[in-house]
Amino acid sequence: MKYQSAVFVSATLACGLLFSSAGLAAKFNKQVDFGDKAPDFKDLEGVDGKTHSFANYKDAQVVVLTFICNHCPVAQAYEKRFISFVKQFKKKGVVFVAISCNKEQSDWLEKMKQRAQQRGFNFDYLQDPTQKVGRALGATVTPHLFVFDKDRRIAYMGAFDDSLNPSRIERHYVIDAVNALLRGQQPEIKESRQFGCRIEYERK
Amino acid sequence: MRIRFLHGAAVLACAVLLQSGCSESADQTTDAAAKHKNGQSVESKPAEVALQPVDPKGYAAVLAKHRGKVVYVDFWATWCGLCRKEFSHTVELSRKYAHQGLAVVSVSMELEPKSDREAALEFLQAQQATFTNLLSNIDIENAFEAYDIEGGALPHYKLYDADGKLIKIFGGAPETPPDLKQIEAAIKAALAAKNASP
Repeated sequence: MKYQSAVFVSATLACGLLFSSAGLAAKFNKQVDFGDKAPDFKDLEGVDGKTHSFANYKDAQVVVLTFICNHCPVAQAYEKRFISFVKQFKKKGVVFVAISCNKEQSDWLEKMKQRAQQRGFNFDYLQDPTQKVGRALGATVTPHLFVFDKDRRIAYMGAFDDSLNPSRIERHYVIDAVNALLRGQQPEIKESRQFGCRIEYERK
Repeated sequence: MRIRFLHGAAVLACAVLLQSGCSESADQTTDAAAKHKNGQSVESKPAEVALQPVDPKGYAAVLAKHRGKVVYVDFWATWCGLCRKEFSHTVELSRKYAHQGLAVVSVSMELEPKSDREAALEFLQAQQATFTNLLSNIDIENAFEAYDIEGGALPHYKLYDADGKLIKIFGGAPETPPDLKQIEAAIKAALAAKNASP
């Protein structure tokens, strides 16, 4: 997939200007590209005590998936924004789901349940102990967001917006991408450089 | 400031006394003397553990200053657990390879550079990080882009050759935590290449 990306980059360099943002290979993700299908996860345990599969969201117009965890201050800084996003977009057929691939004790399911309750999460918060979903999407940090269109293809990936500090936000990447998709268009900005706490994958 | 100065002077004196045979310490003394001559503040004495705020231009200037040496940069943050855990490895690399021509630089990527500065400095002092310590002073969301931190994940390490060319990064994602053995091997190879050329 990496090498495909490299070929894409060269090809895009050659004719990138012609196609504007369409067909541009992802700069900040080595694993997946725009238009790639969402990984079809099954039976991940959620903080609601139920198991969840990606197929459960089949009726959604748009799915926003974010990797988060309890302990990361960057992820924590976004919790309120995620909650208001859900309040605003749930009625428009947008599903927001958070997954933790972290293995640290502070991020275990019991702690996830506590955090979700304390913070009033209004979205599914799932645990991926195999780290498969994170690996499949090349998720590097928490928070790292992926927006999937109606066909569940990657339409946007990266950060939620362009500032950790809510008073400095100029671009609402995820909100803009979701709005574009709801209008039947592709997002103008398809990626941004995510940053946050490294997801520590277990060595294979 | 006064306290820091006294502390710095004491540290410098001890360092000279205790490690007078060590070339790393000798380097620092020379550096400090040179700085003093230029009338720069006591705070930037490398013998004391100091933390200098920089923007990307300042970072480039620091790299340029080390031209002729292999430069190893550790991008870290107080909020990054793995960074704190692995920082001692960076300190060890400096101790081990400084005399062969390795310059070590740390860049702290704090969420709020102004208010987190003190915590970063305390950590560096506890680690005895007596090399060049920088604090990125631009907004955090721009810093990862400005310093090209692949995957937006810390710790992130960059290795530059003696000509200032970036030869390797470690911690690029979706790699698992950077392999410390590979880092040391790359530093050794870079030093060997430098010391082999006239």
